[in-house]
Amino acid sequence: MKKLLRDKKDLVILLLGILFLIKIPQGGIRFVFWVLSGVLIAAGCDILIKRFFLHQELVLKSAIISGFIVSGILDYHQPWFILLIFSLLAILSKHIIRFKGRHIFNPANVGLLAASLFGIPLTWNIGSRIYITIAVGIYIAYSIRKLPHILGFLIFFIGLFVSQGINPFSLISWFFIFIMLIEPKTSGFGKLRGFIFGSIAGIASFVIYRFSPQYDFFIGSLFVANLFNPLLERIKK
Amino acid sequence: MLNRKDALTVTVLLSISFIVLPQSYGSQMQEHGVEAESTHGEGAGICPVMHKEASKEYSYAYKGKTYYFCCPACIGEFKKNPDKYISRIKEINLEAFQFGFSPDKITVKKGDIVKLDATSRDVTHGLYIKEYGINVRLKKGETKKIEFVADKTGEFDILCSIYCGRKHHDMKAKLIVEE
Repeated sequence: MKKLLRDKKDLVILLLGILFLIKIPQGGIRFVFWVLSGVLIAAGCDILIKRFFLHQELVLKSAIISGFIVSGILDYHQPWFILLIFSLLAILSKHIIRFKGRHIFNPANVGLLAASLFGIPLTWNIGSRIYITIAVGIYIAYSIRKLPHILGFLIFFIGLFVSQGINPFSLISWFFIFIMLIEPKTSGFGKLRGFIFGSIAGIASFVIYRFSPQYDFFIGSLFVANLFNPLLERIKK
Repeated sequence: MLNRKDALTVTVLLSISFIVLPQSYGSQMQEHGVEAESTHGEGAGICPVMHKEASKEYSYAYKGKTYYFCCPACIGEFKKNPDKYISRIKEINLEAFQFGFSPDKITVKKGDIVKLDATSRDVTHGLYIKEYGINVRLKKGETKKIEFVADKTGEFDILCSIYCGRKHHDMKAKLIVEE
């Protein structure tokens, strides 16, 4: 248990696993195979790339998380090839789109962004239980020092939506905030940098909702915030 | 300041986002096999006789309503027995809201022409019926006309394709097409 709590990726996998299990009675057998296949595809692709192309150590936790997120958010009634394509794309993006030797885009988000561009509905099935997500999410965010990201996001998200007379809490996705927004490698560290990163995502989510509401504003906002990573890297605080 | 390499990278990434994304928005909302436009649109819908795309050139008024056809021959055919064709047109007002659709069940017969007047009560929603290739954005205060021929039997999920809040995943209705 101590070991589990030490590596927060294990905790994220555990949380995703619990969210997945809770959804099974409603999602049914197709949902089970859909999510498990997504995880297997993402992990399998990561193994192949690391083993045969990069000759790196096999650490699959990130790929498992990406697989859970992509398959848990994509509509599971879609054809299987949809899952295959976008899970592969998520992992490939991690190894292909790099800046100074590191990936700057959240891999799962890239896969989901591409899916939504092709008109595949994102049903966010895995994010259906908000209380457990918030409870575990706050602990994870605090442990990996990502609270400034969340604070920045919430201030702008809530402020801008309230200014337009829209209840932000009826739209907010806690799954997005606590699982996707604070992904360690692509959201950066530091209080100021984290706050700015979250602020960009918060503003972008409002702008996308307001001017391009057909597009998933959470996925879009994270992509926009990730775009700023090369600039934000200069902030050392 | 950014060095040249950083600036190039950021420029390329921003270009991708601003060029590719808006173009894709258009394709995302492309409907297949249906007529979908706002209430003030110019489309004539589906010909009630041949089930092909109708034209505003060929119209016929019957009991205070105007029907559009794909060709003059269809007008003649329609005139012989208008009620036979009108009975196969199902007009339904569908309202999307957080987090459901009203009505939550639409039952039609195979071969019916389904005309949905779809609106949103609160935030922006998406109306998505995978099997009929329908994916339409519903903004609050806007009415979209969606028209299709119910040519596949079965029970089909009507889903919201645009994230609309924490119970977005629960937002469902059923389209039942009976033999």
